Amino acid sequence: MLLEVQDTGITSMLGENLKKFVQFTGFANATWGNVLMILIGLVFITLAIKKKWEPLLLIPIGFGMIIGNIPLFPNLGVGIYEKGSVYNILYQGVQQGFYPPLIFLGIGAMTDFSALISNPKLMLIGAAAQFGIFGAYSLALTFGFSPAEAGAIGIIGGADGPTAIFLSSRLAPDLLGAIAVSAYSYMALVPVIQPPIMRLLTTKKERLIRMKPPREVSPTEKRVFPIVGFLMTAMTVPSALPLLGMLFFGNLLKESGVTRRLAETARGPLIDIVTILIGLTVGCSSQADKFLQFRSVLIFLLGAGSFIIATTTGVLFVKLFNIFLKPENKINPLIGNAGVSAVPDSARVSNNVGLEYDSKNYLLMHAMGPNVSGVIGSAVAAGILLGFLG
Amino acid sequence: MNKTRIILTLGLIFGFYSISNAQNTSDMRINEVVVHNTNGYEDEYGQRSGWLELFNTSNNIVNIGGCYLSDDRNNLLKYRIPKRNPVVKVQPLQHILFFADSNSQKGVLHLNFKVTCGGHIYLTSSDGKMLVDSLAIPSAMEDDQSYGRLTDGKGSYERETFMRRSSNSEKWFAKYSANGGWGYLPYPTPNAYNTVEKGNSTAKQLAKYDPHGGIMALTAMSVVFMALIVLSIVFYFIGKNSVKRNKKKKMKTEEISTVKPVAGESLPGAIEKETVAAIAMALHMFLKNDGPHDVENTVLTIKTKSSPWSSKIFTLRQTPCFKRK
Repeated sequence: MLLEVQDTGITSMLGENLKKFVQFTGFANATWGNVLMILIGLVFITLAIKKKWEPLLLIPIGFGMIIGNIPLFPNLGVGIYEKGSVYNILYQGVQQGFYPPLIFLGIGAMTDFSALISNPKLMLIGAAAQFGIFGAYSLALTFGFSPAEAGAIGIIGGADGPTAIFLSSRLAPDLLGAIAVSAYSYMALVPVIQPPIMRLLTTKKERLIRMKPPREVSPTEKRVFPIVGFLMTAMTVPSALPLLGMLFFGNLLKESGVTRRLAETARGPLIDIVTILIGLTVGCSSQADKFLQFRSVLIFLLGAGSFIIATTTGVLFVKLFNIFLKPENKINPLIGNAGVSAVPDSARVSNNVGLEYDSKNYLLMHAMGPNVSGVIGSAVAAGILLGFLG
Repeated sequence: MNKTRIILTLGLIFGFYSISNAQNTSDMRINEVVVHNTNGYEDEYGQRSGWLELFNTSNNIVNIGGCYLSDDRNNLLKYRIPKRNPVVKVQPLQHILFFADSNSQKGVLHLNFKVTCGGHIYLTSSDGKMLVDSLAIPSAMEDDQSYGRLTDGKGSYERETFMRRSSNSEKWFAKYSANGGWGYLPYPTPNAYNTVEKGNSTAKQLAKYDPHGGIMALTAMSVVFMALIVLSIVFYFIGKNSVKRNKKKKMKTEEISTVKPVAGESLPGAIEKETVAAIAMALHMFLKNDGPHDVENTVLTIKTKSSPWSSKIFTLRQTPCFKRK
């Protein structure tokens, strides 16, 4: 009799436990939203592998989306939004905004500003392309977003993933996932979005303009640039200090000539580690219940708008600028698109489109000028937005 | 006699402890409440629910573990804040936020009741007897609307009502419902000071006076252009100066190279022809076809050559081996 009772107890206990276990599984808690987000993650991974579109970003983001959309039973202590969980700890770099400056350190250590130093007027093209940010800001306001949210959305037009994450973590933490995924997606799509706009806005004669080869830049000039550049920009917009400070510091490590090991670490292992963590956690943060909203769709549309505006204003600004330049100093408007700071993708687009019309007109070095000034410009713009709306 | 002293001392310690404890928890204030949280603060699960915020008005850490929160006057002990949890230690002049989602299984900061319009919130001390603070929630609150103290932890009647509480609780409640110093906040400020508005006031003004973002775009673009124009001007002059210096250097070098040495003498600082020839020969020997390159043509790599000097086997000490004959 006693045995019977024990048997029943164990059976029922096992049954209960099994039932609980089944209730705890992702299969039992999955929603259509989770499934859809996992599929989007798979699409990202496929695009990265098959099409080679920004694989360094799309693979971590894509896999992060899959991780983030595994349905969890509350209080399991493993989800990205559960305090103290591993993913939550890693996500602090995004939430507190310390990953983006570290990425900027790496970008600084790998960027050669020679093209910009040799022809400083190209900096203005980088400034003109920032119209994309404020155009998208105005559009976002029209669609009913608050000024802070609109600022965070607008920065997608800067084509700078780390800056977008940095700003949205401060201005609109709720929209961080959608903004980050949108910014990185459009950065990957630069070769698709920009060329039609560039062709549309330029004449054949303009596309054939050959620019003067850039002069040789002395090591002293390269060393002075990060110091003077930092002082001038950070003094103007102190709120962009985390980004500008790290960018120029990284560049000084590269150009000083005496800190090769530090520069190599910054542009190598450090930026790789941070890219892995930022990509994975941003992907993880895009949980279906947060991500699959009408607002996310709007953010995607506004992101496309901001890229189009940035490319358009960049190209049109060069055309306008050419009116005031001597014939021998004319700038090829095909480098106008490079003002968005997707380094070096947008400069590569300028070069490729240029070569389509003149197989010996290499625009890459010229386009790198506005491209790197776009990085500075978008960091300054982020600082302004933070100062006004933060 | 000794026993009496011990009992007295223990009694004093206990009394002091309970008083200090009571004083500590009495420093807590209900500070802010949001009933309909649709687009605002999210919990650690990414979900939104109504929430209430407490504020530590003292300059000491207050442990509210063991205190009670409730929405029912007849059941003040509805939710017991768990003890021995670091989360419930509120830092001086700081906040603690509870999600009123009626799901206390989610964690320490999740209550087992919801806040409702026209309802009440009661904070009771850990002995379950002393009502520390209470709030009457307005009967009408819109989505994401926040009701809170206009200055954190301060309300015009709080001290008076607190003292009256013990003698006449009914009066206390009645008085407190008319508490001053409360109002609808311009926006919810979860875990932040209710009075901190400086940062967002510009944003609010922008939303009011610049609904389409035109002014913002113009201002910001002017700053971006100004920063980069100044930088480009500075580097224009630095570049010009650098080009000048390079030209001067070049001219100097050319001058030196045009000076012809007197027969039998070499120029100061010039390398002897024989030395140059020796260096060239050494380089040639070093770089010849089967020389040091292995894979990459542009990278100088030294191939290891086995010789008794570099061989491990030759340099290792041989273990003596004795063969028996």
